[in-house]
Amino acid sequence: MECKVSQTKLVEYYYQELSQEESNRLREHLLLCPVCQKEFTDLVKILDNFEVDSNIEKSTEFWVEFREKVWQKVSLYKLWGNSRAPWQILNPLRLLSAIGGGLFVLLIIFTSIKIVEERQQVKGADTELAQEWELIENFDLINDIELIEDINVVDQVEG
Amino acid sequence: MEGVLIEKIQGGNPVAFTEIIEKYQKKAYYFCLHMINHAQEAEDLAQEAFVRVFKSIKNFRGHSSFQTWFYQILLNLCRTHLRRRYMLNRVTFNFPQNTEFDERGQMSIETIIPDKSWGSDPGKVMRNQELKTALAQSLDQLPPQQKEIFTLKHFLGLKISEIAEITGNAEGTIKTHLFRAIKAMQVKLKDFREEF
Repeated sequence: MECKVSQTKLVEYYYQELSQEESNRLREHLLLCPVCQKEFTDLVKILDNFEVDSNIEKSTEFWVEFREKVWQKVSLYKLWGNSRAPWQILNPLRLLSAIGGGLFVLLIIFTSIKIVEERQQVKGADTELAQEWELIENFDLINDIELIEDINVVDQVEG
Repeated sequence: MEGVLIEKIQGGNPVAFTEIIEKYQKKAYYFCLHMINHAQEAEDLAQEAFVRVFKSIKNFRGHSSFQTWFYQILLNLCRTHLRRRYMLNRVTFNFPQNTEFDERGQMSIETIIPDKSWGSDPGKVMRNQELKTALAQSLDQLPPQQKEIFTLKHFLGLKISEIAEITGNAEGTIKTHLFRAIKAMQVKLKDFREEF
């Protein structure tokens, strides 16, 4: 067995994933090849240092509580079905986004109302101006009539 | 045996569901813990996986084993969680030391790497601490796919064929990723060869 091939097989050998025949061939190779022996020793040392579960074993209470929590969540699912419960929807991030979105919409509505009001004011001012202008335009005529009337009065008095 | 249990759960038997939780809770929790390196989030994710099982158990037809199906759910939850965490830019690379979990619930070095007997030599103890940090970092710094495969293989003790089924990759791909993951960790830990 060539070293390149055997080195890729070392991982499988460590995890006992090789067939009996392959394991025997690799074992024979390891006995003869110091390079692969060293490689396998390094591999074992590293992988053995990752043994963990016994060291982080949780207490029995932890697992009892774990199961209780699963059942609580399952009960919520039974209660709310596939839709989310209100407190799931209203988590802080979503709540902030919702408030931000709401404020943005309000801002748009408020701005729109203000723009409409301003336009109406301008339109009203235009109407008033137009009315005043009409008055001004007609002013001379009215004055003239009054003047004519006044002249008539003066004439009558003088006459 | 497990098939009967699944049928009972499908029939609405709560005792059978509790049995399934009991059977898989440790593996689910430790898998999540190694994947996301955060105790509270790992617990939540593992619990969520069981809720998903409860929700979808009626659709389980037994085309694959329950174990494969369950780990697929778990793996997808972890991937989604890590993606979301990445999006929120909350990825942390610091490794708290000497406590099982820090105040944020992150897994410590002691938790990832067990304490071996190194005697009372202060130099060796310090060197051992450095080694633990390096081991944890080497695992955490693996590309996501390699980390997934290494965790499924080493910490859950699944067969390569099972990992291939869970991840939807060919067995050859799994072997390659596993080999590369271990090689990458060996390179990162070359300074500690004498310590082992």
